[in-house]
Amino acid sequence: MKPGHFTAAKRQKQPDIPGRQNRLLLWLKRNLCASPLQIALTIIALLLILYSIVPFIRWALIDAVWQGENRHACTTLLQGGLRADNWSGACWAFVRANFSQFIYGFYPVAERWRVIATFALALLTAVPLLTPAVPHKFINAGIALILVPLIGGVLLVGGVFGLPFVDTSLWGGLMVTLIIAYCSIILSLPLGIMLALGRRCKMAALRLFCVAFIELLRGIPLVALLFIASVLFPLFLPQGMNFDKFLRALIAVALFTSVYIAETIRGGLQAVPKSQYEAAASLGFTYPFAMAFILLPQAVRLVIPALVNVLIGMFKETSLVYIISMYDLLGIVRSASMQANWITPQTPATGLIFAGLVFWFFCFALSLYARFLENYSKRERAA
Amino acid sequence: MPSKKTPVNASAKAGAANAAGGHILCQKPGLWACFLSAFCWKRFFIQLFCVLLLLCGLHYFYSNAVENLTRQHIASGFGFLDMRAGISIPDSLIPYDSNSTYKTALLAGLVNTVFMAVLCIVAATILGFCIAFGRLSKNWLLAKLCLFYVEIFRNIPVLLVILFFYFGLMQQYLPPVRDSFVLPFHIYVNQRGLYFPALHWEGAFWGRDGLILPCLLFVFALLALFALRPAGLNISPFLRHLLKIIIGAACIAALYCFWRGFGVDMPQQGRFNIMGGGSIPPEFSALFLGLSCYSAALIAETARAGVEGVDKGLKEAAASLGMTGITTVRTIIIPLALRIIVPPLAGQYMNIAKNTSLAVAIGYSDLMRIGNTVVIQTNQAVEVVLIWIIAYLAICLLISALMNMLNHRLLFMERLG
Repeated sequence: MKPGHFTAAKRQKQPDIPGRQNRLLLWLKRNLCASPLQIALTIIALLLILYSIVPFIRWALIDAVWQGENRHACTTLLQGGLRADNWSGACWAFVRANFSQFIYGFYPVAERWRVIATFALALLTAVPLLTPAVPHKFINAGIALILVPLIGGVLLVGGVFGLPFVDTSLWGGLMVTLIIAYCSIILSLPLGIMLALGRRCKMAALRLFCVAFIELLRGIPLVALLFIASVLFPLFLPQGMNFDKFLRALIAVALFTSVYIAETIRGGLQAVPKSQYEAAASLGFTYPFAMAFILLPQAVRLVIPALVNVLIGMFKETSLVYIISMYDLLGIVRSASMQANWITPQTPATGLIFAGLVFWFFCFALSLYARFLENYSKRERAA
Repeated sequence: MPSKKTPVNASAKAGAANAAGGHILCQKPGLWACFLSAFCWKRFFIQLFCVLLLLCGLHYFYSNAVENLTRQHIASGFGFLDMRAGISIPDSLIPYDSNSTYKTALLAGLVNTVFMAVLCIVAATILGFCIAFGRLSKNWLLAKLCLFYVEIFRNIPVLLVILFFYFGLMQQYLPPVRDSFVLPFHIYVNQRGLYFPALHWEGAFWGRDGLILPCLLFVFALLALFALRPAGLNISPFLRHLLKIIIGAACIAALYCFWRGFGVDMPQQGRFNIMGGGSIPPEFSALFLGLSCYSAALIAETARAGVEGVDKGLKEAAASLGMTGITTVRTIIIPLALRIIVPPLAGQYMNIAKNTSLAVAIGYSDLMRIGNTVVIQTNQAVEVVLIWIIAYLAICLLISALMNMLNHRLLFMERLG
C-alpha cells in the first residue's frame, strides 16, 4: 500500500455491492486482471495450460484406448494395428490387461489370497495405530510393528503350515513396493532412534561410530548403496552362504532411511527444553528410562511432520530397486511394456503414468495425513 | 542414579561441561576422575565392548572377502586403473578414446557427473524460484497452476520422471533422423538427440592464433576504465565522456575480433545421421529434464516456505515506512527469506548431485554407470565402490562448504545492517 491512501478514500472508490452476475466479473477482475502485469501473467498461464495440459488430457482421456486384447488396439494401420494414421493416445487397455501383474508381480495366481490377507491384516492394525484418538498405542504398535510383519512374512513366503513356498524372485509389482516401504519403516525407526541417541551421547567411541555411519550414508546415493548390497555384499560372506536379494535390497533401503530418521530425531531431541532433561535426572530416572518415557516421546511428537516427510521420501526411493533389476511397481511396468504383444509407441508412457498415479496417490495420502496430524497436535495443545 | 557416583573433584569439571552445552544425563567427567569412578569404568567397558564387537565384525568380513577374492583370482588394489578400458563413452567431456585407461574412463564419468549436477542445480534453482513466485503471486490461475506442478512432481519418484522423459517421451515420440524436427537457428531434434550449430576456434583473424588483437583491445579498455575511477586521471567531463565512448568501442571491437576467430560448424542433414555441429544425446536431455523438473518442485516449496516465513510485521513496517512493492521485496523480503532458504537448499543441492547417479537407469555415462561397467569387466567391486564413496562424499562436502560460505555471508550482512 502506498502512503497517503486512506481508508475513507478507498471506501468511496469501491463499487456497489455486486449482484450475482457482477460477482463473477469482480472476482475475475480482482484475481486475474488486476493490473497489466497480472493480465500478462494470466495470458502466460492460459498459454501454458493450452500447450501442456490440454494436449495431455486429449492424449490421456479423449484419444485413449480403453479396451483391447493386444498391441493391435494401440497401434496405427502403418504399425500393423487398427487405429488411423497419425493417431496418438494413451493405451489404458495395456494397464487393464496387466493390472493383476502390476499388483502381485509373478506371485502364483492360486496363492494370491495370501497377499490380500497380509495387506488386510496390515491395514486392520495400522488404522487404529494411525488414528490419534484410539487408545492403547503401545499394544497397537507392538502388534502392527512386530506381530504383523512376522505373520505376514510366514504367509507370504510360505513353506510351513501346508502353505506352498513362494520364492521372493516371484514377488513383484505394488506388493514389493509396499512390503519394502513397510518393512523399512519398521527397521529404520528403532535404528534411527538408536543412531540419534548414539550421536548425542558423550561416549566418544559410540558417538564417533554413529557420526561416521550417518555422514557416510548421507553422502552417497541410494543407488550406490543398492549396488553395494547386490554386488559387493556377497563378497563379504563366507562361501556358500547366500542372502536373499530381496532381503538385501530391503536392508539397504532401511539403512539409508534410518540415517535420515536419525537426523530428524536428533533435531527433535535438541528442541526438547533442557529443563526436561534436568527434571528427569532430578526425579532419579536413569538414562534409558528418561529417554524412553520422558524425552523421546516429546522429541518424536515435535518432529512427526518431518518424520512423515522422510517416510514419503523413502516410499519414493523404494522405486530405485528397479536399478538392481528387481520387479517393484516401476520395474514390472517397464518389463510389461517390453512384452512382444504389447510393444507399441504408447505403452511405455501409459505404463509409467499409471505407476506415477499409484505413487502419487500413496505419497499424497501420506502428506495429507501429516497435515492432519499437525493440525491435530495443534488442537490438542490448544485444548 | 549415575550422577551420584561421580566423585566430588569431577563435579566441578562436569558442571563446566554441562554449562558448555552437554546436559546432565550425558556429562563427561575429566580423564583423571574417570579412573576413580565406577560409572566411568562402566562406560569405558561399554565402549570397549562395542569397539571389540566392531573389530570382530570387520575382521570376519575382511577374512571372508580375502578368501573369496583369492578363490576368484581377483587381485585387489588399484593396479587395474592403468589398464586399457575399451568402454565406449560417446558423450565424454574430456579427451577419451577406446585405448584410454580405466582411470581416464572413471575420470570422464566423474566430469560428466559434476557437469550434470551443476547444470541441474542451476536449472532447478531458476525454475524452482519462478514456480515459487508463481505460487505466491496474486494471480489465481498462475498460483493454482504452480501448485498443481508442485503437487504432481513432489509426490512421484524422481526415477519415474526420468524414465518417463526417456522411455515414455524421447524414445517414442521423437522422429527418426529422416524426419527430424527443424527448429530455428539450424537446430535439429530427432531420436538420436539434439543437434545444434557449434562454435569452434579457428583463430584466422589477424595475428597469431587471432588472439593478440582482441587481447590488446581488452587491456586498453581495462586501463582506460582504471583511469576513469575517481582516484584516477583528473580530466574534464568532455574527455571523460569521450574516454567512455572509446572504451565501449574497444570492447565491441575486441568482441568482434574474438567472434571472428570462431568458426560455426553447421549440422547437415544426411540420410542416416546428422553430420557436424554439436549434439546432445537423448540420455543427457532426459536426465537433465527429469532431474531439473523434479528438483524444481522441491526447491519451489523450500523457497515459498522461506518467503512466507518472513515476519509479517516486517512487511507491514516496510509499507508504513512508505516503501513500494519492489523495494520491499528487494531490501526486506529477499535478504530475510534467503536466510531461511539457504540451509535446506544445501540439502536439495546435495540430493540433486546424488540423484545424477540415476543416469545408470537410462545409460548416460556418469560415474555410477562407468563404475558399474568397470565392475562387470574387471570384478574390482571393492575398489570401484571406494571410488564411488569418495567421489560422492567429496561432491557433497564441496556443496556443503560452498553453501555454508553463502550462509555465513548472509548472516554477516545481518550484522552490518
